[in-house]
Amino acid sequence: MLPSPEPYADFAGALWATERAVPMGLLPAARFALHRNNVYASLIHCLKARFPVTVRLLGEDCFGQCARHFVEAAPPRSPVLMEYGAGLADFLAGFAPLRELPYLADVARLEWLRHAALHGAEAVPIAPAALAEVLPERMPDLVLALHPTAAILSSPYPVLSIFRANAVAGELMPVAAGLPGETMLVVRPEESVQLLPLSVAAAGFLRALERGLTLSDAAEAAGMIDAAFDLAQALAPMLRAGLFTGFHLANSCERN
Amino acid sequence: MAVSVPVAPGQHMTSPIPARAGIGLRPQHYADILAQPAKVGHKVGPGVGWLEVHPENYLTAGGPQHRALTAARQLYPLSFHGVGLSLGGEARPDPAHLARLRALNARYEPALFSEHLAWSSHGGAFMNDLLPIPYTRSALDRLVEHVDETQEALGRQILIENPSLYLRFEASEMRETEFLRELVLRSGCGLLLDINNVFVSASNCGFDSCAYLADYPLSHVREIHLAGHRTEVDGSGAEVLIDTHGSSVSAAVWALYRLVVRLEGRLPTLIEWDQDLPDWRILLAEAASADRILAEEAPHAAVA
Repeated sequence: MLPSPEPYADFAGALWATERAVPMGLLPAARFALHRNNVYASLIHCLKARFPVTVRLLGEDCFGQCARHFVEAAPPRSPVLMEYGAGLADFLAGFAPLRELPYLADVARLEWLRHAALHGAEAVPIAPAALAEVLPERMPDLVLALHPTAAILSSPYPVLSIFRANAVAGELMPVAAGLPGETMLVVRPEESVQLLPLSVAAAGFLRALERGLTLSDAAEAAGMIDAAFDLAQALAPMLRAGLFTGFHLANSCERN
Repeated sequence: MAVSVPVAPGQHMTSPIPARAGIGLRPQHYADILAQPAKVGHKVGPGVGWLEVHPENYLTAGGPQHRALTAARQLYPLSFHGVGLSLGGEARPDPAHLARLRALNARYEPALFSEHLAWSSHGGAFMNDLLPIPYTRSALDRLVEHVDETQEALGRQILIENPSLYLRFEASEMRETEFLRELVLRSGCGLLLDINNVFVSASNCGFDSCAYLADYPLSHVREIHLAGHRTEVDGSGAEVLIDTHGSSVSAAVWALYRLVVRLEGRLPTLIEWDQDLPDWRILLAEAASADRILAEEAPHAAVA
């Protein structure tokens, strides 16, 4: 039997589907397995490097098996592997064998946000003291620009605590039982990614700022979520984390 | 098919690749490479003459790797070695990917841009492996079109690298060297000769490395790659060489390199080490071995 003149579809199909027969016309046919292994092993390796804490929580072998299912279901659509893995968290959330570990998908979601922030657009943050130059009576009208790498993750699980306890290789560190859900900010203002725990009100405050609301309007929205929201107390760690890249006064051309 | 070389090699960059040893820049070695003595003009102190990166790893908006490459670019001539265009594939190179590569080229002005005689995408999925192609007339026609389109889109000549083969196609009508010679004549591309790949393919597919090199269009080579390989056993129990880029260059490959330099003179030579990365000093020692062979086999040629 003559091999197909254009072997690509056969070759690619048999690479992904390990149960399919080796394509005709390859010498020696036994070597086809090398390519098949390369495809899966290299993509699983890429995911392992991108989700190190998820790997630690699941164990190398178990993560490898989950990643294999993910690769099979959602192979990369682009040769830029820096973009591969965005869908892993959703995949893990719907993966039946992991039902007993409901927090795992959000840990993977946090790791993806860290990866995206690390390789996101550059912007120079304002110094924490920069707002001190604004006249107190004009503060309410201030509009703050968020860093382009900023992202918020809200989880019903203590994901930041789990991530931090297991961020360094070593023995698995369990977190205390019964911890509440956590909300966190991810931003990469300089060389490294910053993680900042947020109250639910602070997250609402940031979402309002992101929509372009003034400081006072955003603080008011946060106050509706939690009457105890304190603007100055919330802003200080955000400024230190390098979250803001500039500010201007609403209805004004002045920008900083 | 238009025989066009849109822009002569060398026209784009601020500093050409010198005919000496270079090293693939990896994040693990950013600190070491940036601590090396700065070059004076195009001359670099003892160590490494130029750097190569996979552009696909830099197709991001920002991040530490851009900071490092921007700094390294000030100290060393730079070469891009693409791994994502799938030029040997059935589909045309992705215009969106070409546009991103073109923008990255404009940003970093690499002196050389190379890709592979292979395919890696099909049906919209990327397989992250350099897959072999049958050496047929129709595959050659298509590859010439893809190389042509890439050179047009990037506005420059590209180099094509010979693959490391584990198997061959019964359907092949030509030797790899014939295939490459026609590709060069018809597309105007240059060649990247990977000597480890020659050795690995020769061993795996049963041909002679020296005979291959004697038949290979050496005068079109603009860059050489050297790397390590590993011996494994395939599913049928036969020995197979795996192109791992994970160890030092073998004695047999150094001997073939010596032969190529004797035949063709000085050429930019990359030490490729992508897995199980060693200490920076070990890479420098490999680079020094290549520089020594260049000096011994082509003593009268000037270093660019």
